[in-house]
Amino acid sequence: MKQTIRVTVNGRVYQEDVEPRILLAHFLRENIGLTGTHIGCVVGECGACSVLLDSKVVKSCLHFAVQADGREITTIEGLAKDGELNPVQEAFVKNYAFQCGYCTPGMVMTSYALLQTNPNPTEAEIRKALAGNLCMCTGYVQIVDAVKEAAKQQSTAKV
Amino acid sequence: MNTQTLFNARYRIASALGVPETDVRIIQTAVGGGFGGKSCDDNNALVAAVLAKKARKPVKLINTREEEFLAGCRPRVFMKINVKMGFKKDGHIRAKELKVIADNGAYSAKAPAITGVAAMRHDTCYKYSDVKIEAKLVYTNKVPTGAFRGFGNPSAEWAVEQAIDLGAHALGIDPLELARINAAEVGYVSPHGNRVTSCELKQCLDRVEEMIDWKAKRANKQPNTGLGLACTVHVSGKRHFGDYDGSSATIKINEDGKALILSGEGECGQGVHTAMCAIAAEELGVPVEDVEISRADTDLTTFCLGAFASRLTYVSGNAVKNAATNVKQQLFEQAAEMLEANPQDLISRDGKIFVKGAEGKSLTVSDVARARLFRHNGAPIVGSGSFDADSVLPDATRFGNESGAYNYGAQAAQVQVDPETGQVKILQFAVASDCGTVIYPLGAEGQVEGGLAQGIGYALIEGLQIDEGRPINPNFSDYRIPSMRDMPPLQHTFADSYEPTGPFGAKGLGELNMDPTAAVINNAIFDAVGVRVKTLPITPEKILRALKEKG
Amino acid sequence: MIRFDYQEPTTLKKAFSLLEKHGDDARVIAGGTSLLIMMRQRLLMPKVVISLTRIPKFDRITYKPNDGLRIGAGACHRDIELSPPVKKHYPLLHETFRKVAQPRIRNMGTIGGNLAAGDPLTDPGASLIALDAEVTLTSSKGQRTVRLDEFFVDYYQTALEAGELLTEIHVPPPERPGWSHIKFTPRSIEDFATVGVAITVKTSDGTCEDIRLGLNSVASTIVHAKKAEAVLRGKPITEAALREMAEVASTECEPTDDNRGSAEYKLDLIKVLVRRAAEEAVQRAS
Repeated sequence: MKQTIRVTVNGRVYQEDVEPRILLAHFLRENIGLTGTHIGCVVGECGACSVLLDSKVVKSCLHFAVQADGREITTIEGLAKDGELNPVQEAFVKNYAFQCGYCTPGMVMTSYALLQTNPNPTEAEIRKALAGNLCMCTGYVQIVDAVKEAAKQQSTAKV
Repeated sequence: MNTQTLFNARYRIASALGVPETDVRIIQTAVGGGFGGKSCDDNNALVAAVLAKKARKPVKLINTREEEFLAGCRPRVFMKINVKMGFKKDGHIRAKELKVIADNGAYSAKAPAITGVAAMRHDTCYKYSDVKIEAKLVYTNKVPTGAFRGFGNPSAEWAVEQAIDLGAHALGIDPLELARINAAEVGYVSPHGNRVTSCELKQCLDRVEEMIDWKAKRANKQPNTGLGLACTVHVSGKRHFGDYDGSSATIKINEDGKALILSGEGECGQGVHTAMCAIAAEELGVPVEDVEISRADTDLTTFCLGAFASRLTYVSGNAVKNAATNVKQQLFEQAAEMLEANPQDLISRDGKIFVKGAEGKSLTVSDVARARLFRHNGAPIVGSGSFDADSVLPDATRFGNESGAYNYGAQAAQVQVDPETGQVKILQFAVASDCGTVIYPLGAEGQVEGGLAQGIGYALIEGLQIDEGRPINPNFSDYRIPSMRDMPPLQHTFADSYEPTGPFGAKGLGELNMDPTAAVINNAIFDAVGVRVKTLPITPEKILRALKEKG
Repeated sequence: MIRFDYQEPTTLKKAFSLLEKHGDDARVIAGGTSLLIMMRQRLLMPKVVISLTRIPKFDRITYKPNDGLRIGAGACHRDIELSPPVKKHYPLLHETFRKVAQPRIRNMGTIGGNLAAGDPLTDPGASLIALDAEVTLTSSKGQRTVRLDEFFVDYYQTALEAGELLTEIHVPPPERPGWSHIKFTPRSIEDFATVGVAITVKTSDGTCEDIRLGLNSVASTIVHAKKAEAVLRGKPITEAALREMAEVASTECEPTDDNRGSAEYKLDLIKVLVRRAAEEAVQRAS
């Protein structure tokens, strides 16, 4: 039996009828049409589905859409403002921190969330925060470089 | 479609549907990494095609991750390898005997080729004079196997590089010295005919020696800590699909002066598109920002083989370079008319074309393209190029020269072993790669780092467990892959090298650094605690058991 | 994914009446990180899923020096990890919750969900046992308190009866200053533990005054190694005593072969890791 839910996604309110069994990840991709959130494993291990739920990073494959009723979600599509890439996205591009791009939305969202709460993370803190985001392509080195650079850019911007 | 080899996919689907190739159109979209797993061994595309034809509607078929493990994954070919090596007292390899038994799984796709590579590829790494190889491929009732980064080479190097290490210990020669004594060089021809046209393996050995501080660490050995080394060789394309290891590309110059490369090669994140743009830009003499590359589409691009065998930079790079040479020729002919000069006297630099020594009077590429087009009998500037490697298709006895160029590398690691739990910690990893000229540094670094990460996964973490033919850990909770915190401190560098037949001296890189990693780690563990695990993955449990048996 | 009805009661009373109404057809959900996976694999197929996330104050964490720590079952692992009183007064818990899965999972999964699932592979249970934790089980008929080491009954089975919900975890004021936590993962650091050890100890003049030892991933439930504790309690702390304690601890465990290690290996690990954890805890105690 379908239920009506109201969710705010990237600042826009959506009211949709969904079956309780629909995963948040599928809801974002198929009902809202935002395919930037990727599904890699559906058991909450790979992190490709990471989104912000009320500013906490969660794995949207381990969440039913109905659990998000009344809440705010930010997906990868919501990071750039007015066509300008977010500093985290810029840093990823500059440092070639993605190859096939499959894990990238999750990596960027998690990095973004990390820098919101810890603007100057050490390398160990970066690796710990991103531990649940798996990547087959890069070996993670350039991703860590990108997060360090994004942190530097953000702190320079604030000064 | 989910593929890294478009024209091969088109051929396969056309055959399955019983229609001519041109009735099938394959367009590559961004579908994630390939590593060999998307080189047309999966059945979903065929099933979808058959259903779509019947239904006369689009059909999409996507596996869940679990289904991918159970039916689609085409794991690496599992092999048992026996190595026997003979050395002279001074360390020169005298002979090598290899016995390989390879597990094909239920259906055969690339396993025969993979077994062949495992049997013979490593002969190009050191100066071998005599080799004897027997390789058997066996059908088993298991998940069918397929191609994955390294294509049999990781299995071979796991075995042979440890045999070399054992040889070093038996001879009382430092493993790095032993590698130096035997390393391949330019001009070497392997027993089956592989010709080495560029090789900086010795330089790679020098570099890792330096990066990991090999001599000092060996002289100052700490308890339960050890050093390991392995060398590696890989191809830059492989002559295998008929007598052709080539590529083709078309470049057109738009009216605004920007170039567009039309290529059907499969980019799945390796950065090859950027490399090809860089090659075209270099040849054309334009800024790299002025070169773009199309999506791969079998209707719009000419034939090429796709991403495998680390071929793209070398083979398609050369094709793109040739196309660019053709286009430059046309630009110069037109510009020569406009500048009233000889085409041979023209230079193209930063998007401007001028007579040598007279930079003040220049034309932009856009000026030239427009002038050629907007006139009586006008025509666009568009040119094609192709390249087929100067390799020799191995004959039925396996003699030939499988690739146009060979890339080399050396890896070294320092590990610490906990003797009570068997836990291995990699303290440091050093990698040196010879891929000729590095066309796109960031991309090349990504290939080294990514390859090493997969090598570490292969060595220590990953393992598909099969019970009565079925994978019993078909998800990422039970089948682990390396995460950010599993990666060791890494130093890596590229050798100063130049491949004369490569585009601006470049050759392949993509698979090189996955091949030797497991052997490096196991050699280091042996140096640390004196035991050698014989099966992959190297787990702490196996190490502990070996330590207990050792007493 | 199977089809089900989804309910979001706003009070515990409403939650209980839904549970009574639907009985075995219903399952509760808070974070959902383990329930969802079990539903996808069809290990659990509830017709009704009752969310507890709208129940007010269900995730509250409070601390009083004479009462200790009270954690609402709806508190997620991340909240416990970051809670100032946990960090200050229960460093063992802070360390343990830092190691649970990864941050994204810790943001979603709740302690109540974790304990109520009865999964012997997860980390919090052993540490909570080492701190003498007890759980409050509530139903429409009232409340009862159960010691955590008696709460785990068997593989994925707990002492929860039909109609009961785990509503609170109580950790008494810490009495043993020495502690250690070891989560041994031979493959990836991000894996589930092959063996997990949590220990708290109080010493004086080289003698062990009191000790608690919990282990996870070594049996069908989380283990409270009482016999091992008895080896050391009241005795002088020597290397031999620690070794003996570790040996006895291994006899209280029944690990199985799985893709993280064989039973034999796990027993070897227990003997080593219990000893090492004890050494570290004793050092911290002094």
